[in-house]
Amino acid sequence: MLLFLFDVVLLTTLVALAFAAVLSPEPRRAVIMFIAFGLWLSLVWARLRAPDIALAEAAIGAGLGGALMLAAARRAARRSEASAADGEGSA
Amino acid sequence: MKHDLSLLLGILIALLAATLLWVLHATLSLDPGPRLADFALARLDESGVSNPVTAVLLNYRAYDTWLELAVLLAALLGIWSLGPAPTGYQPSGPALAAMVDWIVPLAILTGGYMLWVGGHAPGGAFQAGALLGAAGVIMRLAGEPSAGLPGETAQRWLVVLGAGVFALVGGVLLVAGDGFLHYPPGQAKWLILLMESAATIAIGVTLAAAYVGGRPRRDASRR
Amino acid sequence: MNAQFLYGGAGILLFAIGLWSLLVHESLVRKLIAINIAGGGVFHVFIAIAYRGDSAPPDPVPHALVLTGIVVAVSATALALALNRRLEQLDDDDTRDASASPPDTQPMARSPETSLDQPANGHSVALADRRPAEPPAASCAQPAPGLAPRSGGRALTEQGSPAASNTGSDGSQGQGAHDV
Repeated sequence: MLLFLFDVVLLTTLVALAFAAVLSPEPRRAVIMFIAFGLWLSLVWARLRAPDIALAEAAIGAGLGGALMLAAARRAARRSEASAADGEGSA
Repeated sequence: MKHDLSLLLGILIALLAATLLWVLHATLSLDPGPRLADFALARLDESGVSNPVTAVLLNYRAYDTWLELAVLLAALLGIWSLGPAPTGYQPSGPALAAMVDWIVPLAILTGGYMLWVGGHAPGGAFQAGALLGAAGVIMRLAGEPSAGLPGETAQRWLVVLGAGVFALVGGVLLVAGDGFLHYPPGQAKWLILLMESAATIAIGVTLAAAYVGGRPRRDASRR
Repeated sequence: MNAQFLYGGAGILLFAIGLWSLLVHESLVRKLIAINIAGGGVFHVFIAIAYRGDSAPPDPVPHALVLTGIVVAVSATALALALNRRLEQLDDDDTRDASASPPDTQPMARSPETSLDQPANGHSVALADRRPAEPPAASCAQPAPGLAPRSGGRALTEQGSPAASNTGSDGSQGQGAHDV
């Protein structure tokens, strides 16, 4: 029973992190939520007796994938700020 | 209009998810036939390693792992064909530099340990390669633009090393043994170790080079 | 069985969230996050099916499939981000050329070997008439022989001076046609 409750809490947090990553308004915050989602997914897989995959997901999926996307999100945020400033300047 | 469209899509996708959930429930309540897991775990002793996931990756399905290394190589070639690497970050302050001095050697050491321990405990070539790649990423974030990687020619050799060693071992076994990637019974462990080491180096270099994100810039002296 | 269905259901939910976000959002970074979340959901379904409870060892075959899938997903993400950066560079060059200078009227000096020996590039054959090989005629002679043997177009290898390689042509026309 207690284990079932633990499972439900794990999965609820997982789905909530996925929603947060998808619904957040700016790209940088979305990427950070995605990194958290990846790490939490690794934790869930460790509970499901898949430690090899948990290691790989934490390192490659969340770590490297998140690092790759963070640079792109920073550039995207800077471009949208620049275009907003241009729009106001020329208006 | 945009909001309505996203709401409509949400409803349609919720219906799709409900259908998939029903399919999953129906599948799980069926009686499973003979599972592959039984076959895989039955002959684990002969496979040369005692970690079942490593046995599946590098013995039963070594062909798939070879093709996966080729996919990594292809992605890196695509990244390299798009232009030179962007300039790196500024050199780090003293706190980050001290952390890098500690973490990068530890990451490399842990990667080596993961490679060895993958034979009998959770670990393996991919995890070890990911740690090496992470060491490269940390170095690039701390201001080293080449992410600790050697020059372009050396990088080309190293990224080909993974798929290349698999193909070489498979070719030798094809000519002199039972068939492509059929390990002879006593030597599976050493062949797997050899191929895993090559794969670790290739994966580490490929991931770090993918993070750098472009062709390595030549130095002014090396023209 | 119960745990398998619970975790598999969560995996399907993750896939649905990722699919919705992929269809709704426009910027590439959000689409990549969506694809990765959907991929994570699929991997999660695999691992849920491989789980046999606390007594029996888990099924190693789906684990190997997921490991392969994680590495392939990350390499595809890296390639997509590199393509995105290149597209943004080309867009910036377009806007800069469109706002910077009026199109030139003098005939372009064209060194024939660089623009005509890339037949593999599907779009460059039709563009060979309009695309000048090197921008200013003075610097034509020197880099052209060095660039001729390389495939894939000339502007892709020397990005150190993007302004120099794009001005001096009828820039917006040539660059606009360069966008595939």
